[in-house]
Amino acid sequence: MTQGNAGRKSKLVRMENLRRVVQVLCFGVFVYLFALTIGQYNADAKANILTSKAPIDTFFRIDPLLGLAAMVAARRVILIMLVYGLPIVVLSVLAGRFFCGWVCPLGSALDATDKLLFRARKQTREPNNLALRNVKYYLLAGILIAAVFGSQIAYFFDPITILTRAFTFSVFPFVTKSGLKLPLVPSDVQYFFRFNFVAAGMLVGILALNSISRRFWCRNLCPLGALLGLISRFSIVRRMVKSNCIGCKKCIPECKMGAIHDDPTQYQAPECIYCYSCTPVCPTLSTRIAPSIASEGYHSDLDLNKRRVMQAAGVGVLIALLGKTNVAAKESRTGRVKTSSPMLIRPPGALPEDEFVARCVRCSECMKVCPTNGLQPALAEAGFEGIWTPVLVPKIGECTRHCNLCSQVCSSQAIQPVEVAEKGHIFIGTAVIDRSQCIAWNSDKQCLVCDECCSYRAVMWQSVDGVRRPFVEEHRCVGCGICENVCPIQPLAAIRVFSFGDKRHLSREEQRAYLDQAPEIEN
Amino acid sequence: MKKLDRREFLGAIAGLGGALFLGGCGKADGESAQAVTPRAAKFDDKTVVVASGKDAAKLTRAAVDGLGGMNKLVSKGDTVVIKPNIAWNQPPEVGATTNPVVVAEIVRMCKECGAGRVLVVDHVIDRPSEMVLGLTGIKAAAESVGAEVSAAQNESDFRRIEIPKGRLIKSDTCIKELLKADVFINVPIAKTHGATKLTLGMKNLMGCNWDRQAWHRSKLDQCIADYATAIKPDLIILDANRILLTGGPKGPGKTKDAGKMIAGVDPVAVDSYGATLFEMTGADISHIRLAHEMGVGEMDLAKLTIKNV
Repeated sequence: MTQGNAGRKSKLVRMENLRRVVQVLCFGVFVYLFALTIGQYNADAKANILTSKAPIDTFFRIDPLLGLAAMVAARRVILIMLVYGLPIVVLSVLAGRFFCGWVCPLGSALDATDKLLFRARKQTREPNNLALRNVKYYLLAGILIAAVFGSQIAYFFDPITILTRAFTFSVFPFVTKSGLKLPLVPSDVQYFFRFNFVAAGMLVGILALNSISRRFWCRNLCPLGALLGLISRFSIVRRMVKSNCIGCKKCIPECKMGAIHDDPTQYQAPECIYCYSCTPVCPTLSTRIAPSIASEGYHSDLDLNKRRVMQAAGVGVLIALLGKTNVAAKESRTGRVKTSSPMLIRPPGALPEDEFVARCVRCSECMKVCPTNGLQPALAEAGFEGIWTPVLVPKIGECTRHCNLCSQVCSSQAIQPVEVAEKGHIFIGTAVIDRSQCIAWNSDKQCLVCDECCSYRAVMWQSVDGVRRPFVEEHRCVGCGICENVCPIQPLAAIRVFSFGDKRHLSREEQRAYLDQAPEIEN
Repeated sequence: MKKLDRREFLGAIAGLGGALFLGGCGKADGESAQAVTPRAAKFDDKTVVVASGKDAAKLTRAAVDGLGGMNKLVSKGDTVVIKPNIAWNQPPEVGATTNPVVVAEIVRMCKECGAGRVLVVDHVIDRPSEMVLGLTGIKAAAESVGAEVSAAQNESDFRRIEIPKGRLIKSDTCIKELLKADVFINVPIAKTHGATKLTLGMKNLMGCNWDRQAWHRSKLDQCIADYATAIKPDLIILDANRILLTGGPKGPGKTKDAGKMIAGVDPVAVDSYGATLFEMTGADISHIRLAHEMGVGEMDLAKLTIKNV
């Protein structure tokens, strides 16, 4: 009997350890995929010169919350998210919130934070506010209702995006700034991002909440956890406590999620993340987690406050309606350009604005991969709905000619696939010369840097009063912004790109036809 | 684990802060400019060799041999820096960047003379520079014959230099590796240029400095001539096998297979000959004329020995 017990115990311990190993592996894969999100020169394939080792956006593809919200908000099936997301949904229906306990890199970061920083906290005195944990369901309700009304706000609360944004905006610039010659780190571009404080602050705040209780975020706030909890109500992997339980309650403080309370034989199934912490501490080894449909001790009911759900839904509707009626949604009288900001320049391949904003999950991968650092999270360019979506800021970096990396990494395909060869007729903006600033115009300087650097021969010189001065040919200018970036007049360049040339509302054939109207080049 | 008490914690913070502060103090607020002393020319500076033909590699070798051979310039163990034009993200056939075959042949000749380290370097304009080195074919071609290829893209890759004879710029920057080299070979490609009409050898040296924009804000032609008084290549090989007639300097535009390779040590003479390929003369190009006036070299082709091979 003793021997048998010992044998079983080590096996039980192994399950918990296996979970730790899987967590470390998944976190490692997450970081590795993040690090791979760079352009790699591929000399053999001229058409696709920079490649990004696929599938670096795996975590976003498998995230069912992002997939669901983006698809509902955009009213489109996003095949790649459906194909990758469905297995997670099916597994969660069968095996509960294993994703939270085993896979989620933010969950693993929270567990690690506990081990490193909050060891001293007394688990027995950990508050376990049952009403607070409903907040995540209210958030989920708000997110889904907003999506139904066409506004995708899942990006703000999704754990994968929170972690990736913190990595991109806050950690990656440290790495490039350090000047270390590391593999997979670009050596000639120093990355800077707007919102680095916000992105870091959100992550640090979530980690700091662990000082209140372990996995405070997962217990109370995470809408992805709420979604997985909801769909796992009929999970067939369950925690069972045999009748030889002596009621010692050792498992109760062990539970990271506070899913076991008062009665150790009972647990809240939607809160359980299958971490196997409760099984090895059981002195009688009466606790097991295994496939079963036994209903004893299994509670899947949610004690949600209907009023709160309605309130959250109301807030979701309000957010959606405010977004749709915000001045940022206003279009110009003719054409389809938003009037809110002339600086709203989207990467090539971006869908028309409304669908783009509905789909974009703000994962920041496109900004991380952009080889010039020109893609930045939007501040106010795209209005309230479009905050943190990618915009090209030419004075920081241009959309370089032989590159389509952002379209290669976009999991929601808000940026549609683009061939490098097509970039000559995908119009994202138009450059305008400010002759009062331009030194070739205002002081007859020998400066045609914009003409030199233009990859599309859209900026050309003509001799005016004996001096060569730059002109923009609008049919050839796609708005890549290299002219603005290299202009010697900085930071407000004398040639600037504005969104009025944005032709996303036209098909690629129509845009091609527009390019064909360009006159012959003389010099 | 040992617990850190408050005193130790504060001590550690103070130590870290102090280290950072002192580290900052150690940084000089402006590197003093370094004088550049040009080496004596190893070849006859009154001779410009013009090789004609079709095969770029053969032309390159013929041009250098016509001048006296690479062994007059490169000794065993020398560090050689080659500065082609790799500014743009264009494949070699566009004619916006130096033909990789020419660069590779020069590397090969240097290696034959026993050169130690051969470095091919430029301050690339298009980004990312890694892609430019790849697409232009320079990286593959030069590395296959044993050269190192790199782009000088950070300010720390440059050093401040004095330009005592400069009229407008008295001090500027230059790629560090180039200043340290035993032999410096300038390998421009001949093409048209918006601001300066043509870009040949002296204009190619603009890629050795860090802040190009400043020259545009100043007087570009004068800056090019000023810079040429300080940075003197030991050998110039002007790639005029395929020249870009329109759309320069980046192209794409009309090209012409001129089938020429021009070698010399006088930057003004080489450029002046180069201008004739575009049906112009050195005097038509302001920076060539200015460099001539400032004594950088001889613009008048009649006073030079043009050796056709």
